[in-house]
Amino acid sequence: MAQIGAFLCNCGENITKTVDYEKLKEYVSSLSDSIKLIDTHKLLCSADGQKFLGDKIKENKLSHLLIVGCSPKQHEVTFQKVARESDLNPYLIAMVNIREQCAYVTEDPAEALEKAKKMVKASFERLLLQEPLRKNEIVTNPDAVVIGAGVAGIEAALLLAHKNRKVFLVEKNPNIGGMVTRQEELYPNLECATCMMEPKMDEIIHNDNIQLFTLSQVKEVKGFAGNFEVTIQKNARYVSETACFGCALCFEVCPVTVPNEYNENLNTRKAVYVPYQGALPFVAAVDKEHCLKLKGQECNKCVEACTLGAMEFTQKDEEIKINAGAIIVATGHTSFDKMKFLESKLSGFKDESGINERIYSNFEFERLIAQTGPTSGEIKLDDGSVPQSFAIIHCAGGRSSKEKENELCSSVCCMAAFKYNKMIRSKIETAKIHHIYKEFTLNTKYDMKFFNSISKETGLIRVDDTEKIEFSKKGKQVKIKAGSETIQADMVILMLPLVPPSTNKELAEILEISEGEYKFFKEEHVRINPSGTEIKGIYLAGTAQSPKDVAESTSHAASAAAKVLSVLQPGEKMELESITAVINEDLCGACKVCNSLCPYKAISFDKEKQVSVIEEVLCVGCGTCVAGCPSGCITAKHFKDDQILTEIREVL
Amino acid sequence: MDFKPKIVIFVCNWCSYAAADGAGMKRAKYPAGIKLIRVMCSGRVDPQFILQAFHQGADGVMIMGCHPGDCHYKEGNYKALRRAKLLQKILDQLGVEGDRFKLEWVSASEADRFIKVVNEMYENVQKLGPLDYKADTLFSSEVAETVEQGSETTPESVTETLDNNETEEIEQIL
Ligand code: FES
Repeated sequence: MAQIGAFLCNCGENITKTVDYEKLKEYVSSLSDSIKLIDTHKLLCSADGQKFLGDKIKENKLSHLLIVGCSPKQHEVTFQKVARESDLNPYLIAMVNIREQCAYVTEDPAEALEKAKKMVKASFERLLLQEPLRKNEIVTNPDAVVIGAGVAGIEAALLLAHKNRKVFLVEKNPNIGGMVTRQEELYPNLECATCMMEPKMDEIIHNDNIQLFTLSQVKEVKGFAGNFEVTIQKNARYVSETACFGCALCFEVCPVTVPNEYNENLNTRKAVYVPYQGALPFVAAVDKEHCLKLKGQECNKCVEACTLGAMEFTQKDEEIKINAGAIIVATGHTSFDKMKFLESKLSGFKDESGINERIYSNFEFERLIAQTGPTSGEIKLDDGSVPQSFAIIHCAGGRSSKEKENELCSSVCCMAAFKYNKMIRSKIETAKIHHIYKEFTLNTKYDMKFFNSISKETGLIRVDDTEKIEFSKKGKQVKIKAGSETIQADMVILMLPLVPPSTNKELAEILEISEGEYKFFKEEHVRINPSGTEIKGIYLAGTAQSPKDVAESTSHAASAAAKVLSVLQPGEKMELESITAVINEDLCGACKVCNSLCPYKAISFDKEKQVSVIEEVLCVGCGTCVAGCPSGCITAKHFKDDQILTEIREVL
Repeated sequence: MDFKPKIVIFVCNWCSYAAADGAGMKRAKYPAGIKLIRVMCSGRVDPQFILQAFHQGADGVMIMGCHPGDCHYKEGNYKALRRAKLLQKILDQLGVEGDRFKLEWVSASEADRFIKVVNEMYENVQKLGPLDYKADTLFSSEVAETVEQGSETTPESVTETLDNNETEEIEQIL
């Protein structure tokens, strides 16, 4: 039988001024025989009060506490601690908040006493139904999932791996390196991009702490900081990652030719391919969409050609579950569609191919001047001729005055444009280059100097509005009407903005983070926490958050990695919620209503047993499944139906 | 007016309970007939709790939760809202006037709003007078059934039973 100790706290005189404690004490003693002890204290939460309480629990071997006083929001934790130290289960305490809910708010002392009695009775009856709960702990997981293996994802992954954290690096493409490896040289020192990236990428492949998932995507995330369960969908490559070394025998025989998206479709690749020489991992992949064999047609050419038996058409897409304490989103940016900018600004061009011959986007031009690109780095027009005059249009598509979503400045394109200027001139010494611009963004300490170093021969044409520039076909050249000036150029380069990938929306939903302004992911705080998100344990790195150059992406990634390292300590324990929900499997009607109700994805359906099951480490005890269960088979610990119904009955 | 209504308010632990504490700290006054019951989230409030409260003699019942978007458990308050809409229909059929059952959003810092909302509720119920709870005569078979059906509904099917205005209202809040 319960051995209840009832303690009335005077709270100085805060309560007793309004509520007559003598009478209340009398009432409490009349409640039940199970109340072994009734005592008052002038301030139970004080050090003295806590000691008094602890001693009383031990002396009287109390099993339950009824504490009449202040709000549990203030001192429930205090008294739970005393209880724990005195071997009384902390969930066998009822706090009757007659200070905030009665003494303070009720005018008439007689009414206050009556209300206090009802409240005490309700809590007492509820207390009898309360059950001891145990404290659950898990060890926090110090490892991380990094989504995206571009420059930011790679940086974050390496920093974590160097500190002995396991990193699960998820990349949607068959190869790593992202947008940076598509560039030939990087400003401000015109360093070779692949040379800079290669050692880092190589380490990603070889570091034992890093597990790389190519052709993969995050499908589902459950849990919370320190305890995420991440489902990764890994699509089949159909080529053995261990046996293949990119010898190209299979590409040569593959009968299917498709545009090579890695080269902005400027050339073609096969249905089994490595996107460029030196891609890492240097392993071929089969393009599921175009491969004849996978479409069910008679073709076995690559299999026959491979001398290593590396073709594995038996591979299946798989779902892999990973446990990690943190997630870093480094999904980067993508290219802007140049036709979106050009439409309505063109005349005289017959079709898109006519446009493509002369008008390049920055993303296309990057590939054109890259040694790994379609022309091995030679600047050539479609007909093989070398262009002599160039017009570089800044803020094409970005800084839009018409479309809100495209109004932002990507902040990196001006410097990229000046980089092109230098690269063009180093290859075609006599080239005539014009920059047509609205404003220049030169914001780092290197930029002004770089800009000043551009040849004096460069023409600068300032316009009020880039949107008003018109392009027409003039023989083999493009005529550009920009404000009051008109020029002709063999090649036009549009400096298009960096835009968020269209997949951000889906990923935002999976991670429950927000797509922020302009659909780049929203940071927790723009100044003091630009690499955090509103979800604890999920961080942002690189252009996933906002357009950035390589230097900024790298530091942003380092900041995300630093947060993971500082927040998640290996071996650290994390207390789990004790107030969770439990399903009585015998009563479960298999309706699955609760599965969709749970905001924490803690409930799933066990097909074998035909019942819903709650994953306790994920349950936070909100109780919404309990209220929604049609068969009443879910119980909310500490907030059980009978406990609440009793409280309702007694309080009225 | 002599009639002193009995009112039960279900308050969520994170926002509304704290608002009630704040009202106490300010020594704001509200009638002794108002009693609070703490739940972790407004989403925990089973429609049967409301019916039971009326059955046990409450003249008015309220659910108080965090503002939309602020629920400590992400979306419990949306679940509460949907259930409340459906429950309101059942209560109509049982002759419980609309003003006797309310759902309100009160954040932890809104002590003043807490006071305003509970006092208004009290006055409204006072005007209506004591509740003649028909369900007590119909009890228990029919009501029990209704209640069960009530909770058997998925959020989607609940929405189906609502008219356009109500759906719009929910959509707006969501
Ligand atoms: S916690 Fe306040 S409504 Fe959910």
